[in-house]
Amino acid sequence: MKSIDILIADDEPHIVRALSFIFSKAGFVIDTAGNGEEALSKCRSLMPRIAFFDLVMPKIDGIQLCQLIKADIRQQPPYIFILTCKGQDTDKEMCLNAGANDFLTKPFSPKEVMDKVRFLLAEK
Amino acid sequence: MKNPSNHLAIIIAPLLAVCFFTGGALSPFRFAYLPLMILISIRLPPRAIFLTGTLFACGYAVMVVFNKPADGHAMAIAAPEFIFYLLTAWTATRVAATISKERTLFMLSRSTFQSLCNEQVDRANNLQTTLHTLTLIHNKLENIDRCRTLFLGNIAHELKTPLAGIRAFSEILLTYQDLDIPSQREFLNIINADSVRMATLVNDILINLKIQTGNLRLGLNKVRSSELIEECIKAMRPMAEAKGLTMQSSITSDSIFINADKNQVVQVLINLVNNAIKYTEQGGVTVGVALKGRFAEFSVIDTGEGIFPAEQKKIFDEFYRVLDNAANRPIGSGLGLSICKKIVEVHEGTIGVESSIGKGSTFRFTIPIFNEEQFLIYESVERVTHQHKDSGRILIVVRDRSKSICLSKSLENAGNKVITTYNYEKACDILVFTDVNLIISDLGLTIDNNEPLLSRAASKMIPFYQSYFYVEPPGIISQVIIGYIWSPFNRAQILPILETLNLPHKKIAIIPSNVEESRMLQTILSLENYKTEPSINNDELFNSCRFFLPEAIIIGTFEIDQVDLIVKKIRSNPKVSNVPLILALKVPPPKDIKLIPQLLQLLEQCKLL
Repeated sequence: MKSIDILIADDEPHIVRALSFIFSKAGFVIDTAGNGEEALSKCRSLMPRIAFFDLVMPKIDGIQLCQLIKADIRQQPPYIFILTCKGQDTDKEMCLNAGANDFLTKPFSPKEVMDKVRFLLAEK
Repeated sequence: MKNPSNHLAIIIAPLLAVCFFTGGALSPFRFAYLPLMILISIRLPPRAIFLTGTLFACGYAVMVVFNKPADGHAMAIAAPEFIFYLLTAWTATRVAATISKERTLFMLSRSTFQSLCNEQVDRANNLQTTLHTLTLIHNKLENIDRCRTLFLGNIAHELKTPLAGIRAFSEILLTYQDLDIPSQREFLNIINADSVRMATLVNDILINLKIQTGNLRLGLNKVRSSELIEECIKAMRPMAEAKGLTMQSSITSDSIFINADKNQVVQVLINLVNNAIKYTEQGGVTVGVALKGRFAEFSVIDTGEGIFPAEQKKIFDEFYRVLDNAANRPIGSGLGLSICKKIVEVHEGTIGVESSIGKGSTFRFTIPIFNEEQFLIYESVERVTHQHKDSGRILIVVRDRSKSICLSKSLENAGNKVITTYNYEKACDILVFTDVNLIISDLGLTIDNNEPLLSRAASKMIPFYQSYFYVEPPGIISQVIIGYIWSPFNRAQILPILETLNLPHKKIAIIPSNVEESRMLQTILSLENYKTEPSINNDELFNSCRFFLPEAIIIGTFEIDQVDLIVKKIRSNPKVSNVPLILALKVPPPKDIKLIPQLLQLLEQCKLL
C-alpha cells in the first residue's frame, strides 16, 4: 500500500494550493481532497501521517470525518489538524472529543505550519 | 333635591296622614283617597298625579253638592275637604317628582357604573393582549439578537477565508526567494482574486445593512423594463461567453414601464444572472419580462444543476449556500439572493424560484408597474420633505397622504416652513436632526405608540397639537370639527362646547357607533334639557332632518376612515352641511397634546412662536 506524508482536505482551492505548495517545496509527499467524502477514501487508501481537514466541508464535515477515521483506522491513525475560521472554544472541544489532535486557525502563517509539521514528522 | 318645595312636601305628608286618620273614619271617600295617591305617586308622572288629585277634589265637591247634608252647611264641610284633597295631590306630585328625579339619577349612576365595569373588563383584556404582544416582541427580539450574533459570526468566517489566502500566499512570496515567474504570477493572481472577493463581500454586507436599517433610498422613477434587461445582458454576456453559455432575452412587450430604482433592479437581475451562470455548465441563461396584473414579472431561466425543493426556501436567507451540490462549488458571499429579496420587497414586489434537479431553475420577481397618479404624490411629498430638511419649523405627522399634502400646502401658503412624515417613529428621527417649533398631527395616529415622540417634544419644549383634518374638494384642508369629547363622556366635556355654540332650540343629533354610547350621550344631554335625536347612520339622520333639524351633530367613536365618510355625507347634504360637528374619541388624548379645533388659531400661534 502506498503511503503519503500529508493529506490536505478543504473546499477552498486557494487554501489547498497554499498548503500543498509549501509542503511539496519541503519535499513531503502530499495529496489533496475537495470534500469530506474524498478525504475519507484517500485517508483509507493512502494512510497519511498528517491530515488537514477543514471544519466546514461539503458532504462530510471535519468533525464527522475525525470520528469516522478514528473508528476506521485503528493502527497508526493520522495526526489530524482541523482548519477553522472560528477558533471558538466550543468548536475546539467538539473537535478534540471527535478525535482531532490540533488546530490551525485561518488566516495562518505558512512558516508556523511548516515548523509544526517538520517537528511532528521528525518525531514520528 | 334642590327645590325647597320638595322639602316642604315631605314635612307636610305625615301631617296630612294625621289629619286623615282623625277625620277619615267619617268619610269613606277620603279613606280611599290617600292609599290611591300613594300608589299612583309611585307609578305615574307628577302631572298625572296632580290631575288625578284635582279630579278627586272636584268629584268630592260634586258629591257634596248632590247629597246635601241635613244641617245645610254643605259649603262649610266641602271647602276644607276640597283644600285637603288639593293639598294632598300637590304633596304627592312633589314626592313623585323627587322620586322620579332620584330614579333617573340612580339609573344614570347604574349605567355609568356598568360602563365603568365594562371598561375595567376591557382594560383587563387589553392588559392581557399587551402582555401577549410584549411576550411576542420579546421572543422576536431574542431571535433578532441570535440572528445578529450568527450574522457577525458568518461575516467573520466569510472574511477570514479570502484573508487566509491573501496571508498564506503573501507570506509564501516573501519567504521563498527562488520562486519561478509563473508561480509568482499565479500566487499574485490568487491574492488579487481573494482581495476582490473580500471587497465584494464587504460591499454586499454594506448594502445588506443599508436595507436592514431602512437607509436604502429608492430613487423611484418611470423605467422601461426592457432597458434593464438589455443593461444586464450587456454586463453579463462576457462572463457567460467565457463559460461557453448562451445569453438570451425574452421580452413580450417593449412598453412595460415600472416604478423602480433603475440601479437597484439592475443589481437584482445581475445577481440572479451571475448565480445562473455560476451553477450552469451547459446551455444558457434567458432573461425576460412579462406583464402580470399591476406588476411586471421578470424571469431569469437557466439550464443548470437545479435546486432541491428543501433548499428552495432557504436560498434567500443570509449566508445560506447550497453546500451539497458539488465539491468545487463556486465562490460567493451567501448574501446575493438575500439582497435581491430585500431590494424586491422594498419595491413592494415578490421573489420566488421554481426548479427541477438536473434541468435548471427559474427565478421570478415582480415590480409594480408605473402609476402616474401615485408617482405625482410620491414626488411632491419627497420634494417637500427634502426642501426643508434643515430649516423646518412645523413638523406634520399625518398618515393620510392626501391630507398631509393639503395640510403642508396650506401651511406653506401661509408662509410657514413645513416638514412632513407619516409615522411617529420617523417624526422622532426628524426631531433629532432638525429644529422644529411646532408639531401638528392628525387623529388617525392616536392608536400608535406616541410616547417617545411626546417625551422628546416635551424635553425640547415643542408644542404638540392634534386635530381632525378633512379634505374638501378640490383639495382644501379644513377643520370641520368644532369640539372634541372622549369616552367616558361627562357633562364637563360636553357643556363648555355646547355653551359656546349657544343653540336657541337646543336640538342635537347623535350618530353613535354603539347603543351604549347613544344612551350615555342622551342621558347627559337630556339632563341638561337638550333635545336629542340618535341616528344609527347618516341616512337615518337625513331622513329625520325633515322633522328634527339639528343645530349640532355629535359623531361617535368611529375609525377615522369612517369619520371621513360620515363628514363627507354631512357636508354634501344641504340641510345639515353647515351644522357644527362634535367628534367623540375612543380614548382621552395624552396630557401633552392639545386638541385644537381651528387651523387659523393654530397658525396665529405658529406666528407667535
